[in-house]
Amino acid sequence: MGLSRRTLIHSASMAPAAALLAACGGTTQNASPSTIATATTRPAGTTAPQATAFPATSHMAKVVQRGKLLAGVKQDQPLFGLLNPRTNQIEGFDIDIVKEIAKAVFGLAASADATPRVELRGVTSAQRIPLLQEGAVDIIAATMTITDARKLEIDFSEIYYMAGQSLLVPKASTITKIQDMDKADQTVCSAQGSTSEQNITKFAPAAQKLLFAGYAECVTAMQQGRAQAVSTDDIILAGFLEQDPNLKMVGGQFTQEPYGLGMAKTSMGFQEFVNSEVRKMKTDGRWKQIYTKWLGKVGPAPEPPK
Amino acid sequence: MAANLPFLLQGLWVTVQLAVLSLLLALTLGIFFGVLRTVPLKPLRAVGTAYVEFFRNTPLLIQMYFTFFALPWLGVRLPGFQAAFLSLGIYTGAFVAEVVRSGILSISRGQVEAARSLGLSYVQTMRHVILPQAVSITVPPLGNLVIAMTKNTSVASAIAVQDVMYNGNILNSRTFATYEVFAAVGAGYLALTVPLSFAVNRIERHLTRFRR
Amino acid sequence: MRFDIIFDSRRWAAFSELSVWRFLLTGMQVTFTMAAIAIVCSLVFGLLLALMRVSRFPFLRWPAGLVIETIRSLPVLLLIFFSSLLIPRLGIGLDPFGAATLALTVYTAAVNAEIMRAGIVSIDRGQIEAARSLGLGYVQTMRYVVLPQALRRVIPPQVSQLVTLIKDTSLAAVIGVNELTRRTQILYQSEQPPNPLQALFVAACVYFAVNYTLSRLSRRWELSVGGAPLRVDAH
Repeated sequence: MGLSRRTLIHSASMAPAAALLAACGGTTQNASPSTIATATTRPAGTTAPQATAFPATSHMAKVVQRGKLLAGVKQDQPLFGLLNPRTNQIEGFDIDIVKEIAKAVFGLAASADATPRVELRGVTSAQRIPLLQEGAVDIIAATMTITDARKLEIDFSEIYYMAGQSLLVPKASTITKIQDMDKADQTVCSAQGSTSEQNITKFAPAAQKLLFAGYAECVTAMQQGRAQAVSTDDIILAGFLEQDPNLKMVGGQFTQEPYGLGMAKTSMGFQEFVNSEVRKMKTDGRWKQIYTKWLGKVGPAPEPPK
Repeated sequence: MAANLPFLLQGLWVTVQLAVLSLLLALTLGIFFGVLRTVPLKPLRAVGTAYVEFFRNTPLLIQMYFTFFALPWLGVRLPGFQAAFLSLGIYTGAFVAEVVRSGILSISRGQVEAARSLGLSYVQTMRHVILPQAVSITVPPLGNLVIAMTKNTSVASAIAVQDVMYNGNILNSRTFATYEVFAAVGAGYLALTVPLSFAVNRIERHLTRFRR
Repeated sequence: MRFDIIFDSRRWAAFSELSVWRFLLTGMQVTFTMAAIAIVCSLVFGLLLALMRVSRFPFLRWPAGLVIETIRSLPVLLLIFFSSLLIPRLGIGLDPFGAATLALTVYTAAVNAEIMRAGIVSIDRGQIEAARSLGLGYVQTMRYVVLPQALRRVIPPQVSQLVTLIKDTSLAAVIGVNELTRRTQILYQSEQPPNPLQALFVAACVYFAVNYTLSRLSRRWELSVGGAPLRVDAH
């Protein structure tokens, strides 16, 4: 007599569940998979990870035990988080900040390369907070504005960048400020699930809105005349300015968008640790270094935000 | 939450409009290319085959992105709804063509010859022999295509068409009431597809009532 | 119509670079991984649901029927959004890739359930009666008479469903999964001048090549095995 149906079904249902979990856990679909540097390949001058320096219940200990920091970053945001098609690596301001955090967690010197200890996961605006809340990432560095509503859901670091919402328009446009868009025949483009979208409603309630999954589609849409302006944080817009010289940024900063690193409320001790790291970066010149590297074209490095 | 219902219903209305218009386009293209694949001329059949095979085997999302983001470079800039309707019509049309072709080919030649030899004219043969059978063969699969197409209208939300899916996303980011919003969106789609399923089942049983 | 844009060599230049192809084909790897996991898991769960659906116990038939019909009646994109936004709130850690794969698995399982149910009921009643009169129990009849034949018959609709699945993986691009479609977008948005026309066409050809091959293989199998084709509703 063969297997009873119950046994057959039971064993059959276990296998795919295991495969699904294995596949889910083991697959990275953007940057190259991170590996832990072995003792022989560790660059000269670095110290061993100070796992014992962190309390056992702290989130940092968990990260050290895992061997890498999982960071959620944007991958379609020029200057802040962009997947380079030719190197298959995500690069940008946010990525460098997160690498510094990783160096601090693993006790590496400032000159060390943190790439092996960080696994970058591309996230969209809508995915950022859910992913953090369920532990798929340790930290979010994805051009995320600190808002009271979000503070209810996650913890923020102190401000690591002060952006402001602005407008991107074609060079020939006569629009000079957000109030110019407050007409029914004007269309503004932004991203679904972003504060930018909500600010547009606040400052230009009469305008039509066009919403896509990402800002890059917005720029394409505007270039095709489907919208008169793209509105989001000025630094995000600056990235697109670099790619297309036929655009200009107008309207100044009509909102203040303080960027913060996001951490889950359940990450014990992580917020304090990250904050101390961010403060160090601001005072010891690393912040200005990163700013100049990515935003140098926009202007000289200002004082870091408080 | 109840105050937001009209916004979702607005989106649902756009979904319905998109579905109906795309269906008209799909039927037109599908019947044309389906018949084209059965004519005795090989080059014409090849054109039909190329249409069917290319649009059936490529994702609808890529076709919609193409119509919306790529065509403007050729000088054809369509608003979201039109781009979606065009893409969805062409995509579904390829499936309709297949159904039409099988329908035509399934009527055995013998019946046509028998009808003609009994003295029935071409029109009479069509009317009393071929079309009734063709309809009963093609209507159920076509019905299923209509259901599939209604669901496929959701892809239009990716090119910013303000259908129920797009409006649901906006509501979700505004209210964070994810469960309620998407349950409502799901209910909206079910309200369209479930009655259609029942209707297709009913029609199929009616049409095949003599064959069982 | 500006047809010269189609042949502008600057816009095709990206496709002469190996690194670009590697970038896109990594995306195809992701596509295949999603599809493979989904089809394997859905075969198992689909068979389970189908067996429940044809069972003589109403308390198995009705819930199975309800689940199958509800999932089949919803758009895949909605299931993907459900999965990416709601599952995390239940405390299960799922990145966009996992969420999309889960949604695709669930949808394909429901469709497969219908396919397999159609396959099971297509087995001639007479065979079942003969098997029972020879003394075979319900499970034995299923295992040695019905399922082997049914499973062979469902292969063409299954391959057709695999083709649909491969197309549906493109929807994961909307929630940020870096499969082929999303990488195509990233590519054409970062090129100077932007080349969506060329890039999307190339991506379409890649999907076409894969799916067309699968369809042809399936048709050849169907012809070699013979017998009446199994008609399943193309939901």
